[in-house]
Amino acid sequence: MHYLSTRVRLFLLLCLASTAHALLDHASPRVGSTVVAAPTELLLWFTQKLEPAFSAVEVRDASGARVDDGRVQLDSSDASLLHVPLKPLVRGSYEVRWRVLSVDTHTT
Amino acid sequence: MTGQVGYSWPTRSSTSSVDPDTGLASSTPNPQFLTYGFTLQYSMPYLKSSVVDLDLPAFLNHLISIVETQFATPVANNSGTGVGTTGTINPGVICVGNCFQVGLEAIVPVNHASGTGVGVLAQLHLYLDDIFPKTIGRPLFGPQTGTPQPPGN
Repeated sequence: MHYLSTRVRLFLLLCLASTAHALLDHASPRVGSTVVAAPTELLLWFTQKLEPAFSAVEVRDASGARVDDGRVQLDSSDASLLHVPLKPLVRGSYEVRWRVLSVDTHTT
Repeated sequence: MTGQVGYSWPTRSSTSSVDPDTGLASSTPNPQFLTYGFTLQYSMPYLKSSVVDLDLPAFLNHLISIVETQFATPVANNSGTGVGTTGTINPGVICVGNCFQVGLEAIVPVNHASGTGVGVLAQLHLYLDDIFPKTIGRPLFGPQTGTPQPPGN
């Protein structure tokens, strides 16, 4: 019995890959969004558990001034969630830059 | 977007054969080929994490649309062979998870010399270091509990 037509060839490749880097899964406020009320902290959820001592987040306003208070806190119950306290914000656009280290030592 | 260019030389410049009926020997040249191709991809995980989070269903946020192409054009030792450019265009989609990646592409020949039907390419990538972090996911050499370098170093 032919499970596949002769015109259809199915290749199944089993490969090794190493992509244990922590990527941003989602954020609050959401990436690219506009919010009515100024948030007091930024929440970043990643795809891997993080090592907070070697993870950094910067939030800057349109003039390039930092508006985070320099601290990055790992959530007490979710090792993939970072809390970034913010200074009082005014109306404007803000840019978030992050660099994190997953617990398996991959830097993103 | 990615691309690649290569050049292939045959191990023998020609292939000789003898007709069993007539006993006549013949020789067919083996062409040298220029191989090239490119891929065009768009990552929905990138869109969500770095451009704008559109609050799409979770499944869509794990997809990468992709078009791969690959071609081979004879450029030398092809006189009288009748061999022309062959290649395929492969549109498809990849679903990326935390421990695996699944891809499915159609293989569409660009001309009759490249094939007469549409094929399918399926691929499964397993991230073994994530699936088995305490065994094969550990470094083979060096300290097993080394101190990682801080960002920027």
